[in-house]
Amino acid sequence: MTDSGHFRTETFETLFDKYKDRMYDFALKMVGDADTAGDITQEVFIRLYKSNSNHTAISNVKNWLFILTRNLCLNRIRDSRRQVSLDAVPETEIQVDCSADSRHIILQKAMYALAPDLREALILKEYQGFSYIEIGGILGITVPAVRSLLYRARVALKEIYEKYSIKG
Amino acid sequence: MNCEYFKELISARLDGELTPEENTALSEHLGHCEKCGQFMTELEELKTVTAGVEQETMPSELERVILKTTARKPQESKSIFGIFRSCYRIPRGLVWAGVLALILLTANTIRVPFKTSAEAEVASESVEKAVLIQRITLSEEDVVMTNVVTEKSNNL
Repeated sequence: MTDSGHFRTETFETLFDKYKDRMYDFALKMVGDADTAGDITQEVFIRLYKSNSNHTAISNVKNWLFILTRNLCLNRIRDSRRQVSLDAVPETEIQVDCSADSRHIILQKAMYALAPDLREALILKEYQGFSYIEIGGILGITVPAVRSLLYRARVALKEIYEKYSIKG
Repeated sequence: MNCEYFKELISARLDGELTPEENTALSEHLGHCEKCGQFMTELEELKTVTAGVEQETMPSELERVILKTTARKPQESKSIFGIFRSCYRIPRGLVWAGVLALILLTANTIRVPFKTSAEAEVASESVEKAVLIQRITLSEEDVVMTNVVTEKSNNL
């Protein structure tokens, strides 16, 4: 049994226990809102459950879950951007705490300020621990493209992080 | 090759995704490029901060809702087809093989007492003999009982 899993050999309950926290964490870090992340995670697992009921074979459950979660997150981000343009968000909404965990808070805010494609690449690498090949499989891009994307993501994150740190 | 190329290599080195050749080339470059050295230090610091962020766990309420939504409905198990459907995790070939084996076993069990007509005759004869023995036994008892009754009446 590989870590990727197979829906014909693992029950829904097993897969749910295995991936629930990872999927929720991924969704939350993508959209930055607990309610939205909860909705997305719920939809993902219900679709997984239905695919089992319909006898749909899923060869790589882990990839399937991350791809679906990613797509749902991008849809939500796109929809929210239609309603409120990022330019319209006032600077005062970015509250920087200078306590012991302030670096983590600044980092989180900097992550949410990144473009979604850069953010998802960083989350998959830094928080989910995927290899370049695995990230390429989820995002549908080549390994050199993943490497370039992560480089651009880090450069952008560094700039935003430094900007917020100075403000704090 | 310019610094932009090596900065990308620095990012990949942090992820452990460099080839040995790229690693050697980067080390040589870092030996004489202060800017790239500074860039690597900054990325390492950023990675340290990133590594300190904890993974969020799914709220228990959300977990309960998902499990409740995906729980099997009880009426599914009432239907005979529902029971067969619940066998979806077993390969279909195995299920059909089991059904076939059950049919053959049942047919075989029914056929056992009547394998051949000769055996059936033997069984029939055995039954007749048993009945005959019982009759003889009963007859002997009757005789004994009759004698006892006769003796008693004589005594009287």
